[in-house]
Amino acid sequence: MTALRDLVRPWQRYSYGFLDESAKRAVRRGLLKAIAIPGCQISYASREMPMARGWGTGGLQVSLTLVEPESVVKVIDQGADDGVNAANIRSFIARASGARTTTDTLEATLIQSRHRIPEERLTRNQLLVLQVPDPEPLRAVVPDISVARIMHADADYGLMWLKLYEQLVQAGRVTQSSSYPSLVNGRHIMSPSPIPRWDTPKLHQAENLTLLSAGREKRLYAVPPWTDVKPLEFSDVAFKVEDQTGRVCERTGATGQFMNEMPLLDGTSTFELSDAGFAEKLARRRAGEAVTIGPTYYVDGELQP
Amino acid sequence: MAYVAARGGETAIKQAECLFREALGSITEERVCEIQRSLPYLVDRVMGEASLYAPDLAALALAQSGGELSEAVLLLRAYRTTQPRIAYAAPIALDRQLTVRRISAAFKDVPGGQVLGPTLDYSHRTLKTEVLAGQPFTPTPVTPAEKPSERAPPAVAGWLRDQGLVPPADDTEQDSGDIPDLTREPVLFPAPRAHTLQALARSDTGGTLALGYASMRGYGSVHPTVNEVRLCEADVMMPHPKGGHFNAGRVRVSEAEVVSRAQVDGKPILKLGFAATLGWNEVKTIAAATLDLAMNTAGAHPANETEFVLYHTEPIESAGFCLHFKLPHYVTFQSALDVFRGGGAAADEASPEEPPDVAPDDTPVLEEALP
Amino acid sequence: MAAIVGDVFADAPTPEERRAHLAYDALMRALAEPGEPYRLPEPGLAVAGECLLDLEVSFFTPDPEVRRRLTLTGARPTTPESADYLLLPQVDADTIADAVKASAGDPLYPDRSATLFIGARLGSGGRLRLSGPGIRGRRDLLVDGIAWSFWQERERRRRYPLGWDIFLVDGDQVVGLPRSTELEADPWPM
Repeated sequence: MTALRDLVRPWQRYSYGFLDESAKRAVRRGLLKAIAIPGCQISYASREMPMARGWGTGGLQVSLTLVEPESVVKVIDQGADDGVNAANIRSFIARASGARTTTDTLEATLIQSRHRIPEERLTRNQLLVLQVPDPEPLRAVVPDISVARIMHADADYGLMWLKLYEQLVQAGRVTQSSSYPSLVNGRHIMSPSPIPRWDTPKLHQAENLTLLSAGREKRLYAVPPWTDVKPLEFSDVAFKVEDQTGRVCERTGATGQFMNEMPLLDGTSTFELSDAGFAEKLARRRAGEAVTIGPTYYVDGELQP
Repeated sequence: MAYVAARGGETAIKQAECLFREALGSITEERVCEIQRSLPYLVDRVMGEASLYAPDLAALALAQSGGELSEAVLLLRAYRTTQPRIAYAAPIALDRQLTVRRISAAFKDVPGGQVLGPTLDYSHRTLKTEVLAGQPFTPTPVTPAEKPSERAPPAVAGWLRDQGLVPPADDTEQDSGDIPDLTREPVLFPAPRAHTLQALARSDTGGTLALGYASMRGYGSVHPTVNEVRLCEADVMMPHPKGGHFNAGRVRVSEAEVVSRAQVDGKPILKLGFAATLGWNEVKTIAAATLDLAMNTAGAHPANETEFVLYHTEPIESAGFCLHFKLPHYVTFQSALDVFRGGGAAADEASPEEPPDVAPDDTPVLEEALP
Repeated sequence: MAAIVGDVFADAPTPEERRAHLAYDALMRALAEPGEPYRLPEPGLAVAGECLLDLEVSFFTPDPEVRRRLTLTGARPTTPESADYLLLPQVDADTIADAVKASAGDPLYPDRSATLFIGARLGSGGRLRLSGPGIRGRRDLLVDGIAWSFWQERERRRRYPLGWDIFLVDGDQVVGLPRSTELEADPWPM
């Protein structure tokens, strides 16, 4: 039998990265399974975090497991580094780890994001952690998670296809907006988290590892690098991303990237780049600063191979 | 490198927090002690929902959150996350613990007697307004009974079992470490009974009451009779590295047993529902014991679905998710607007093989598209 | 190691935490890029096990020293059939029997499969030609010191998404072979 004294350690105010070693090991075990079965949801205990559930606690547990003192951390919400919740999560990760923070995608080694993937292409050494409110792509067709589990086991996705077809028949188009269901590695249908359709193709054959974590719903899943991620589409009705035609970023003059629309009193709208870190660099370059801007997934609204 | 815009968000949240904390003033050890002393039932409720027995920390959580209950529970749960698990205490049987209150509604008198203990059940709920006029309220001293009540009266369920009215209990000794633990593994369905009871033990008092009440009121199939409700101080017996157990202290625990009539093969039987929680919280345990009976019985009421009950009575998940709708959702909303305007979602130009014969109706489109 | 300054509230990683972090980082990246070697903070199987195991899981190893170290994590030693993690310094004709008893998971819970850490020699011997997630096109891996029939056994037990996740460990080098990897095994490459 193991003696108590072998299990206890000297008192620490908080473990490095807030989570204790046991919590980290549970996340690590889940992440390895998630990587081994791309797109398959892995249950994990999901500890309570010092932030409200539904506010990124799943992503936070993964980030705190992965962070190291040398990490450079970027946190975004809806594309923006300065969103209040992004600022809060970033400061928590920094305070719990001593890691440096950044708003520059190129500089970041660990990116936690809610609802967006940056416009600049992520590379091999970067880890992307996506916050997930609802990990179950089948929730809309079957609210019961036990039934959904059986459907995943059988790769029985008929209801999902039927739902998209019904949308097509009823509305004349597929009305799924964000969280567009996608088939991963030809086997599991996955919710890519509520990223816009614009961001979904960025997961396909990506260079980087993407980890998705739902804290409240207690599920982890992953898209390894160089993995097929295909949005569900009919052979005669292609998947289409949000139309950015004619939208010009008021701040930077950029076009052909995902834009936030801001209504004006006169009934019209202005636009700005949703990716705030990218916008900041474009603005600084416009002002004459030497700024390194990485290759982007889209150029002039066209997805690059 | 940080830039101005990011600082804006950080300053704003810092100041918003300052506003909240400034309104509460300094939190001193005295304030925390006073909360712990004067609001023990509130402290109990927080400890129960947080599933961490630490009255001083619970009182501190209440002080820090200004009594915002879901915040207080969250604080304590988050603290719990940081604490390593070093051992499992021995299971307790409540009919062997120091019992301060035990009543049965099922019988006029029961072995061990009706022990009213501390309660406001039969009091007149009048405000002592004279306190506000500067006159302290001093409670009338208790007159001790001639004969103290039994230290640990036997369980009423034991008598029912002896009578063959409810099935015998499974008395198999189980190693504490082998009991499935909800805080170390996610609940999966069908849920092991241990997970069900643990989830109810840390469930939200209000949510549990709402579902339990709906079931009692007639939407469900369970018409409970309170077999017993019990408030205890239970011994925490920890395994000693050299073998055996030692007493590490006492915790306040409440439990409820309810019985309801059911039919098996056309024969009427009594079914027993059970719930227990850390701290003294009678309304939650009675509602939870009712839900324990209601779950997985036939019927359309949500209380009959274990998955529905356990997921939706989780205090920090339900509160957190509800509050997260305050977060910006403009990207998903933008994506939905795109679909609404017919922009991207699916090709308008490429028509499906069978052209839709239903006229497009914009209202349901937007509803579907909304995140 | 970066100094921890400012209003950081957590303590710096202890040497054990640091080692576990580095070991896990190598395992995670190795599994995300099957066939690509990564470096563990120290040679051997134990360090890989230590970053994953605790009292929630079970393991099997025939190696007394690995067993001693992993028992300190609180993990339960058990049989090869029921172990969550198998740490096998050698899989040869005599010891392959333990390896092939490992669980491949069940259809409802494909994650309830075993993870195998196996001692091997990397960079020489038979050729494994890998493709699948984490691999751009194809990748070749030379492996020696493992009974070649093990790879046939892996294929026999692999019913994706069921299957074993395997780490080959050579000194401080580790290579990941998740169940998602398609593998052609050629014992006598030209």
